[in-house]
This record gives sequence, C-alpha cells and structure tokens, in this order.
Amino acid sequence: MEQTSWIVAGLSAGLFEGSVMPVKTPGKDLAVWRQRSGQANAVEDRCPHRGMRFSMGFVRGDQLACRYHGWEFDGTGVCKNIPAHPNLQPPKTICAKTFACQEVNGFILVHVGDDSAAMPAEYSELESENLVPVRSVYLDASIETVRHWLMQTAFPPFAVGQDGPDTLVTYIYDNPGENLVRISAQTGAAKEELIFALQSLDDDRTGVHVQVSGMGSEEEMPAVQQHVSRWLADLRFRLESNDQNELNNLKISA
Amino acid sequence: MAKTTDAFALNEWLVIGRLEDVTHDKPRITRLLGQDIRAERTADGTIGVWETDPSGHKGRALPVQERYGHVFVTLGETPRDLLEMPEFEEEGRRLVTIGYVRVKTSPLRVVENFLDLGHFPYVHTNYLGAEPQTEVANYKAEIREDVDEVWATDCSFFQQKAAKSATDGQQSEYEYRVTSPFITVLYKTCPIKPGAWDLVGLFVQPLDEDLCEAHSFVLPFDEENTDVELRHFQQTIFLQDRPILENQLPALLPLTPGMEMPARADATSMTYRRWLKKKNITFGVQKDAADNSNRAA
Repeated sequence: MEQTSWIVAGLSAGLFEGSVMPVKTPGKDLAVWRQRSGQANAVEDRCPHRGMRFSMGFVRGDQLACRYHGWEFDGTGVCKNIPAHPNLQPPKTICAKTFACQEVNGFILVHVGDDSAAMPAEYSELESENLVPVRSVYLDASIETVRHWLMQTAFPPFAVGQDGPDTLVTYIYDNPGENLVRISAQTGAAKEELIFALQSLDDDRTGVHVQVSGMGSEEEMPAVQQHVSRWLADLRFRLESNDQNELNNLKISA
Repeated sequence: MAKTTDAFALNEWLVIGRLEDVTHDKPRITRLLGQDIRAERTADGTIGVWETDPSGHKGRALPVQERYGHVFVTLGETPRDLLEMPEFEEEGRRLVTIGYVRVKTSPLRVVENFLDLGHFPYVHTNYLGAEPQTEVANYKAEIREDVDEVWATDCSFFQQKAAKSATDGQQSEYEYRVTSPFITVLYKTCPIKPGAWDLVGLFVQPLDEDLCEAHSFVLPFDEENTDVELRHFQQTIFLQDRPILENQLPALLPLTPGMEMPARADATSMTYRRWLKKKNITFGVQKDAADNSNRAA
C-alpha cells in the first residue's frame, strides 16, 4: 500500500460547481467539494457534530452543509451556521478537519500527509495549453499493477497510427512521479500525449484520471474522448480478468 | 460476535419482535447482544425463547414477557424492570405496531437519533420540519434519579405533517422518555384531541454492537386512519433516518468528550450519553480515542 503525502483526487472537470464527492485514500476518507464561486476544497469525510459523512451533504453558495442537521462549513472548515440556533454565532472550536487542495493543469491534488511536502512538481510541468480531460476510471488492481501495465502497454490509444500500419510512430513512456504516467507518440514534428494520474484507494483499488493533449482539433475531441474511453474500458477488463494471456496482450512486444 | 459481557446490557429486557411475528408455523430466528436465539410459539400458545448454538440447537431457555404488542427477553439473571406505560390502559387509544427496520449501526446511535429535534428539517423534510423553521427552542433535559430515566420536556417544533392524522402544519409539543439504553418513548401533541399526547415508542433490538433492528409502535387517538396508513407513515419516517444512521463515523457511539461537538439543541443527546457513561455501558460504545477510525466498519 502506498500513501503519498499528495494524492490526485480527480479531474477538475469531474467536480462541478456546488457539488461534493467522496474520495477514498488508504488512510482516510475525504469529501472534496467545489464552492459556487469555483474554489475546490478537501475536508475529512465526517462532520464534527455527529460524525455524518460530508460527502452525502450539499453545497450552499460557498459553504458545505451536512445532510444530517444542515450545519454549514466554509472552505477552511470553520462552522458558519447551525440552523438549530439561527441567531448564534457558532463557536470557533467547531471546525472540520481540512486538507490543502490545489488544482493544477486539470487535476485536483490534495495534501493528505502530516508532512510539509511541496506539491509534486510533475503536475505543474504538464503543458497546460491544450490538455483535454477524458474521464476517471476505477480499477480493481493495486497502483503498482496499474502503473506497471501502463508503462508497458503495447497499443496506447493514440490518434496517429490508426490510419494504417505504415506510419512511423515512436512511443515514449515516462513515469515522472510515483502517481503520474505520461505516454507520448511522436510522428515527425507532431506529438500526441496521454496523461494518467493514478490514485490509490486501498491495496486493491486504483483510480485513473486521464487527460490527453495534441490529439486533434476541438471538433475532433468527442471522438478522441470516446476512443480513449473505450481503450480504458478494455484496460479495466483485462486488468480485472486476472487472465495472464489477456495481460500479456497489453505488453510491448519484444 | 460472541455474546457480550456487558453486564448492564445483559440485564435489560430487550425486544425481539412483535407477538404476531412468532407463529406456530414460523419461529423467529434472530440474535441478541451477539447471542443467537430462537423464538417459538409453544403448544400452550405462549412464546418460548432459547439461546441457540452455531448449528441452531436450542440451549438455555430465556425469561420472556409478552407486552405492548411485542416479545421481550433478557439474557441476564437480575434484569431491571421493563418500562411501565399506563397509557396502554387508556380508553380510545389504538396500538399499531410498525414492524422493524434493520440498521447497520450501533443501537445507541438509533436511540440518539430518535431523541434529536434538529434533524427534522433536513432528514424529514415537509413531514416533521422544513426550512426556514429550523430553530430548536430551549427545552429541559435531565436524568430523573428516582426512576432512573432520561427525560426531555418543554420541547417544541413547527411541523408540516406531524402525524398521519395531521392536515395542516402545527407547533408540536414533545416529551421524550428514555427508560433503557435501547428503549425510548415520545409523547407528542395529538393533532386531533386537544390536551392529549400521542405515543410513539422505539424498542431497539441490539443484534451486534454495530447492527440492530428498530421496532416501533404508535399509540394514538386516531379513528380516521387504517393501521396500514399509520404503519406506512412511521415506516416512511424510519426509512428517511436509515441512510443517515448508516453513514455516521464511527458506527459505534463515541462517549469520549471532544470526539463529537454538540450544540445546545443536543441537550437530550448529551444527557443520554452522560447516563450511558454513568451506567458503564460498553455495548455499542466506541472503545477508545485511538479507535477513532475514519472508516465505516
């Protein structure tokens, strides 16, 4: 089991304004939510009042409300409203445990460690101009297994090479941080890239958050997203089938 | 889990079902405080209850009481008395048993939720409360040492549909009475009979520390609604509570101060927790702060 101090919690595009989602990590459960004004925040998935999961709550304006008694908390975890006592200024001692949350190049990163580690640089080093989010998938496999197979997949879902067998394509596999895998395809001057951010949920489950770049015009993107999504569904089937033959088909042929 | 060693819980009279749930054709096979049990209708028409071993064979016979439409048993040698509810003798009242809802949490969490006024607008929206009328007015919560019960009095809340017989919103007056860690009764303004209280009772059957079945009844003055209608209303309310109860962390009730932060509206809950602590009850209680896992069981 890996527990790094910064985790990727999802794609920015997957968290709408005014919504809240549960995020599992090996050590703790989080609720990640987005204020109406746009800021994403991460909080322990447990209201300090009666232990109710915040991820089942709702967002009011820029505050996260608990589903049980409607207590509202701001992005820093401070309680701002106790509906049972509308005229009471909630005591400052009532606050939820929050975690630093940053959005970098379309990924939501959360600092879950007790250390003071800086945000991993590999996320800010992604070329941000033309990243396009595809989707998040959740696989029944450890993060090591997922990383391993991504790093040696023989047929990554690029747009190039789809036209025929004669295109000369060079694949480059890069693992710049323990939870980031970049696969690029170079065809002459053109470069396409697949970016996989890996999130360990527990020993046996991994979230994969995928973006692409250089894979076509805006009009072509829906088709590209579909193509990559289909490939991810296939990857999931193969990884979860535990069939060595299926897994071997993912490998780069020698 | 194995049968609990919690002396207080063992010496309580605990519900295991309704009278009509145990028939000649059909025993009730269930569990109590971690002990497998079997209830049967015997040849003379009374109900017998036995502890059973893992293969289902009957062992020790348990003391049984058939009261308030339900079957109560105890696993202990020196049980505290089952509560008295003289209202059951009153003319014009009707007993409707609701059946049970199985809830994957501590039985103590279920009782505490029953005592809670502040959740009405959020969990029972447009039944027992609605925004913006969210305020919980001051009320009185106390341990009554003479009867060894927890009471909350002078409670009131504005309710859109306080009971099946209610047609308009009303300011409902409430009193809560907790007679056991697993038994509580609510006395509530009757919507159709001025000055009278309707009873809503909750008998929680503790199966394991984090698993229970919430049995309940109503004893109202109500000639309008059928049993089925009254049952549906209560079941609706209980089923609104269940998703909340199954998503509280931890599932066991924390009694350590600071683990959960109450407000003044939680006076009944705070008094109930203080009473549990005084009784040294451990069944269904979060064991220690180090155990405060941020995970559902």
